[in-house]
Amino acid sequence: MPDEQGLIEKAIKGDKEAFASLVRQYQNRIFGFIMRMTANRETALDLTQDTFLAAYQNLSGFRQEASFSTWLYQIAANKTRNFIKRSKREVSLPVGYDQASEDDRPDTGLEKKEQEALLVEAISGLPHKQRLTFNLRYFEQMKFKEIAGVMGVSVSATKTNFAEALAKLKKRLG
Amino acid sequence: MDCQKVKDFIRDNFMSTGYDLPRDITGHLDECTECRAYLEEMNILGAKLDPIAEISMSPEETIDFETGLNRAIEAADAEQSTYVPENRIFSLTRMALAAAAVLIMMAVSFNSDMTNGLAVLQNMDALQLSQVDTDDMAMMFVNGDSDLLPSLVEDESAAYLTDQIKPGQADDILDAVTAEELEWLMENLTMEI
Repeated sequence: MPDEQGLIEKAIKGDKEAFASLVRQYQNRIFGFIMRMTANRETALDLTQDTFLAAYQNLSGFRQEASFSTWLYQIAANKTRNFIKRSKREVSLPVGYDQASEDDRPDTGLEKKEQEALLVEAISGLPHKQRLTFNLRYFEQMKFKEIAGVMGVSVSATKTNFAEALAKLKKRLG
Repeated sequence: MDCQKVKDFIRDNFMSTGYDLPRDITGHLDECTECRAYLEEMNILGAKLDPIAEISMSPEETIDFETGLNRAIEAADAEQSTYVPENRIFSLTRMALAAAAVLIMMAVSFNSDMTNGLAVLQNMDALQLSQVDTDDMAMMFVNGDSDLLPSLVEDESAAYLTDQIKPGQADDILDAVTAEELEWLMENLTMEI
């Protein structure tokens, strides 16, 4: 099986199966990232699809100066931000927070679902930049330099955003 | 090592996957109750966040996602194979360049700290997404991803766009922006500068 680099090169040359392999590799990570940003499964699914479609359409422009995953997260971050801007509001947790897929897990109880909903709500309630920074750092383990690249801010600004997000989360979840 | 450095290290390395503490940090923690308490607070927060560290699509959602993406890709391929007038690409590229020109003009005109405004744009050169060139951007618009325009203009591509503008071109490019486009850009860009 080709490594990621091989898949990327094949995908750039138009190999759809190679692109599909890359999608399978990243789809849940991107979905999870967007889900924590928007707190809405349906929106997260739509934006994940939009992200991979944009990646497909712009593969020829991917010059591999950044990693493929960073490039994908950047597209996903832009899609998410544009969605939030379009919706003219900061995303709040919908009433009856939908955890449909969690119902499939036999060990999932109401308490666990409520706990997850509270956590997603706490994160989605952060200001956008803090939310984005926190997600990329804590959950996606990105380096601050990479996050700075994704967000178009300085490394020190990402550290500040992260620290502020942490302080708020400690207060909300403490 | 002082307490602030230890706390900064703990905070900056706080990730869902955990991390190893270097020996000088553990040495400090052995001696410092306050920093141990801080570490404990962070560990508690990390444990609370664990349940959402991995969010996945359900099997049904995965099928819907893959079906939808395949359809979207097929549609995009079909659309791309249709004829696109050359002047449309040109006008879209010009629009993007004009947006960058407006960014610069606004940084100069509306920001009380002109140096800061320009620095924001110049610093964007360091971003990894400078790979997107104007032709690619034009194709993105042509391919129907119209919501890319705001992000391209406002975010990472701004630096690349500014690179495209040669001295003396800004006025010409600015002339290419319609009043409506200018209004949109001002509405959307002032917050970013």
